[in-house]
Amino acid sequence: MAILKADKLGVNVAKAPSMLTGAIPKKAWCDTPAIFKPGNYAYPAKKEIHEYHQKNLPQAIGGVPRDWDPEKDDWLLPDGWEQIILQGLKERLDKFRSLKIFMDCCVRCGACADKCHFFLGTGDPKNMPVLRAELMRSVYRNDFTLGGKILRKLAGGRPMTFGVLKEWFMYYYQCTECRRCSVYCPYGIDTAEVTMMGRELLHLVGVNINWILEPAANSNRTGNHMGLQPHTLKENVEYLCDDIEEVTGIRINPTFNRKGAEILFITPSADVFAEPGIYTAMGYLLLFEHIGLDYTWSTYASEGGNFGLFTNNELMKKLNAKMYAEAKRLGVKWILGGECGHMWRVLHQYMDTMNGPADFLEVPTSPITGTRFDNAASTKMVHISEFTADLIKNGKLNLDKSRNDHRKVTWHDSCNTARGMGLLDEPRYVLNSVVNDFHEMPENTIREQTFCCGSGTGLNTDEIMELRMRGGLPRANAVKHVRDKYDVNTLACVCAIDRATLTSLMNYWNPDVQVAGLSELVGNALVMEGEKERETGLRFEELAGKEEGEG
Amino acid sequence: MQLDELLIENKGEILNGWVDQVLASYPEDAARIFKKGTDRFANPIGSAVKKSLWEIYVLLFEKDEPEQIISPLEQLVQLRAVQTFSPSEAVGMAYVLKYVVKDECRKEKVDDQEGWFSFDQKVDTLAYTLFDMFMQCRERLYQVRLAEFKSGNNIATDGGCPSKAMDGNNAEKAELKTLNS
Repeated sequence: MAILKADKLGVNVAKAPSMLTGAIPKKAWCDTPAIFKPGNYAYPAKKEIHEYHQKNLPQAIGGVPRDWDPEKDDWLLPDGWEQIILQGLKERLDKFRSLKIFMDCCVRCGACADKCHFFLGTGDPKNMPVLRAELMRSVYRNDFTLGGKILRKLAGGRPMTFGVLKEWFMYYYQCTECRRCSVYCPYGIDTAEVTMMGRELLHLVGVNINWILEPAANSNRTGNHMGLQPHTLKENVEYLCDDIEEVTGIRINPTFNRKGAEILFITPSADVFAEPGIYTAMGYLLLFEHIGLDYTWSTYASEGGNFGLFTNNELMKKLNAKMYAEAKRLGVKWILGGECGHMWRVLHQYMDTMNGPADFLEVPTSPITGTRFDNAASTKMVHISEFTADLIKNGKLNLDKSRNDHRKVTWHDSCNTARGMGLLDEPRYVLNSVVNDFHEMPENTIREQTFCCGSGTGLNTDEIMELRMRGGLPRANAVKHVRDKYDVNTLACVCAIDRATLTSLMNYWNPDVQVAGLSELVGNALVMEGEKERETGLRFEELAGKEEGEG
Repeated sequence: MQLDELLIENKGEILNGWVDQVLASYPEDAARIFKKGTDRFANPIGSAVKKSLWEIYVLLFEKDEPEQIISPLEQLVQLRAVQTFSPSEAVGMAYVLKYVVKDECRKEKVDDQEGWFSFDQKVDTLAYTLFDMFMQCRERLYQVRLAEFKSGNNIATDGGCPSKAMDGNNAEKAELKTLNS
């Protein structure tokens, strides 16, 4: 092993063989191949799931349904797959002006380079947003620009090869479309949309992952990602009502698929099935009971999440339309949405031009406070945090903050609600109204600059746990800071994927920090009429001052 | 010159070299950014490497408190345990320190048998500690994976209606009824 001279060590960090790895870091990014190994890729879609989607949306889901292995050299791609990709890219360049601009206008200033959580956690240059986009931009340059057609590699062009396809599959699935990089881009390039297009093109040749396609298939078939059938969804909510009764002494009997209800409530299915989302759902149930809301659950539009966003815009449109079809069928006035991330991204950024305006619904008006939500005048859908903040502002909730005194809380701005729709202050207002001990994480890790959980866009599958832990490092690092400084023990948020993935992230990086939905904390604080004295919180945890032996 | 004096007098050079070598385990473009950035939230890897190595160096060679090194190593090892390193690459930084110090000693004549003995012992302690902590992190990682599996997250890709997995659910009851009738 070569021993470096000390004076050289301080000058350049990586010009000689690494003492740790022996590797000589000389290769340019485009000459470094993507190598798939267990743990760095999510499993491809099952053959029958691929078939199911292809039957429903043949124009979006191409390729041959098959069992294939990313680690092998033959991905069993369709004949002429290169042309399929190039044709798909051409169609998208014509259809989406934003994509054409994003392909053309990057000046490689580098402002985004160190802003991506995947880059910060992996150190892989292809996770710099500029390089991740360059993976597609180089192909665009090669085949769609005059300079590229003539000068090829000299103009930064690359032909579409199997090696490039492998890079796309690796790095467009190491981007959670969180858009943090876009905040820093002086041209406003939305790298998330480049990733979205990259994934769409991969789907055209049958390169996909199961953790996205199977939940999307479930959602298309039964109405939700979990594949919960109507009776199961109803039964699960009733189980949650049993738990609420045990904690509060109050029996709640929510309605399902009730025609004529004023409001349709839609939330991610994880809220009624998976921990810790179920505690958030208990919070919703308590809140609606507290104010006597005329609302109904739907067992068909039983999913807020929309994995179409991670697949193809046509699937996204279809899954979004289902919520509105159900609202129409039930004859409700407007839709109230629960704590979800990408449901709100789809709603805020794409719904209006895909399925909107929803003219058959009314502009949402809170039946309790009379507040008209003009921000939702077209989509007719209001976020639970806006709705709750308005109730609190108008003094309609009886709250006992001290019931959350066992929690020292910090706030995670979920990318989709914070950057995607500007929901920054409403949840903080609610949080400050229901907890006594709230500490912000550092400024460059919250609000518009928030760091992603590292597992969004359908990457929250366990076979890539290490990758997720790397991607989530910047978020976990900021949580660690407030844990060490203020003894924070709870990370609150308004996103179902966050609730699931931040739980794993905390279990690895900061094991003594729990993850809670905002509505869970609201539910803990709500003083219900006729309730019994609460000994525990909604997850049956001991309250401060109620510890065993202190009676 | 005694080795312990050299370790204190040349602390800056040694630590710079050590930090550079550990950062050099990342690709060149990344290493450059990690080395430069000073904000611990904007540059978590670079900050963790610098902070951990400085703190453990002080504990080992200035304060002589090798038993205290676990806490400052924690985040660094957590990091290395989930990155794409082989185990030896992930925790080999103790041995890198040996090379860096020996290289520094070429300039000065250090004939200090006792000092070298003590130095080796401390660096070996660091290596053993790193290895133990690395294994704890890997075990924790698998526990996290298991906990997530048990939380119901996997249901989205299990296929079929998850009511099958529930206690006392309608599907199960229906099945029991059929069996009993």
